[in-house]
Amino acid sequence: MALLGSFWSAVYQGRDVVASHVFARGQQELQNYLDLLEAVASLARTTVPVFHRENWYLLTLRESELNHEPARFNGEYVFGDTTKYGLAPVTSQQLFTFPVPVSLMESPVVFNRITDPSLTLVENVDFALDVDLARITFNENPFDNSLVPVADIYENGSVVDREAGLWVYGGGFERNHVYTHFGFMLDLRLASSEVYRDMVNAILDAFARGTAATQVNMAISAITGVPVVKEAEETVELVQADHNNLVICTDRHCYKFGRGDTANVAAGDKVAAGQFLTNAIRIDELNRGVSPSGLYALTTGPETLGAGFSGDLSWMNEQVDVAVEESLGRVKISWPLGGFPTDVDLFWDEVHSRGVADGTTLAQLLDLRA
Amino acid sequence: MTTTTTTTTTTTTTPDPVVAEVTALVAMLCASPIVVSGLFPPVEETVYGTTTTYPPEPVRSNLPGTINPLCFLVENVWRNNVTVVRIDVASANRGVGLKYSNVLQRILPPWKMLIILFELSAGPETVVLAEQIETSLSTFDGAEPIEESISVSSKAVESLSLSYIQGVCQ
Repeated sequence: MALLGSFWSAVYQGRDVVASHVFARGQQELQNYLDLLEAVASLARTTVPVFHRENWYLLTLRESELNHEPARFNGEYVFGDTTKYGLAPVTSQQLFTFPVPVSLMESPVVFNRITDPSLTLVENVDFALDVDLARITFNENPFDNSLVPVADIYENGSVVDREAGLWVYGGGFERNHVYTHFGFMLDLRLASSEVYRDMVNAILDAFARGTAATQVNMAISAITGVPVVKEAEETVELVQADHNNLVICTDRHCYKFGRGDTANVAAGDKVAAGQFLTNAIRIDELNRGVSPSGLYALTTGPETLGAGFSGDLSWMNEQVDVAVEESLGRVKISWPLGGFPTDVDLFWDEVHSRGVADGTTLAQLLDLRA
Repeated sequence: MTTTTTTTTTTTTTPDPVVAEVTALVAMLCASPIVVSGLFPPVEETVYGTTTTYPPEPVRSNLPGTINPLCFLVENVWRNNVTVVRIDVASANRGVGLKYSNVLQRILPPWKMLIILFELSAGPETVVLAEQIETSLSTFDGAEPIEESISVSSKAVESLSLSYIQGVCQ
């Protein structure tokens, strides 16, 4: 108010109206500023916002829609209980559910009014937002709370419904920023999320820098949700399991893993970008003649074997005896493989006959004298 | 056609000089050994001058007694370009989803193979067996094949009917 001058702030009798108007105008400009920042951040694929951020969003709730969300086949209800498909579920737990816009993805805090709020509701404490079903569930009925502004809805001069208004602060809305800015290039459309953005970045990194193990690991991390080291080099400072997660903190970031995961690192270890820190993801490059432990066999399917094979062939990771016999006038070599016996015989017959036709059999190639 | 090679090549038996030049040119372009098989067996030429001729048919003592099938597959078929990724499915539920694993095909080089093993963890199960368990086994002989002789004269029926239609088309 002081910026408007002494007349509006001290002389004018309706200063409260002016103050409200200036505040509302300021909030509008703040939203414009946030939109500008969002547009600037959308220029780079690493910083493109996952959700559009609305500083204030009026969430209206109709009393007629209370607990009228019909039951669906989503595993939430059990066959045989009192729930019927298409009707509102009857639950023993007294919860209050209302539909919300499908684009509402995040709703961290809800107030009863913008200025000087007297009611604050926190997500996952006072209410829960289900983005898949587009509904919000309160622990208490907002229409029974005198702090929530409620208005009557008239139709033909009579009250037909009531409507409550709550203000969502910092709500996140689906605008498909990641897809519309960068994901479309890959023809890969998914619901906006951090991991979706990570996957798009991993793929584009691979295109730009040539596919290295780091980019593959980043993509696997986005697919599985298992974090990898972000910075070029970090130092592990803490490995601690809490009630829900295994937390590994470095000097740069904290990474959260599943409760049952086992850490591969300890405090003081140096880790590099793209490195997995737990046993949730194990990557073995079979390029140095070393077979990884715990890998019992690999299987080649019919698609790699060609026609005539009815099943897979398994190549065991163990030393097996080599069988030597004579066939087609040449020495035939073979060893045990997993699979149908007819497929195994067919495979070795094919190998030997092709070798004979080519002039060099597998036995000659494996000749220790060569 | 003249071909200049900078490496010293030990040429053995080369029936056709034109084919030899083409082989040497291809070898330079590929920078890898060229095995001339089929046309001139059993001679092998390389740009590096090494000549290999397979020894006569091996006997058992000339062959390895044991082998690791997986290592053989990786080294000789997949040419050491295989990466095995083992994913604990129970811990991989926070990403975009394992169904998008095929996206990795877009970024892998064509010579690289990525094998993804989805490990499903199962809870431990304990079975307590009674002290004395007797199981009786019995064999079951398959049913005898049915033999039935069918004579054509007793089963085949042949009939012939004649019809005669006469009328005026309207």
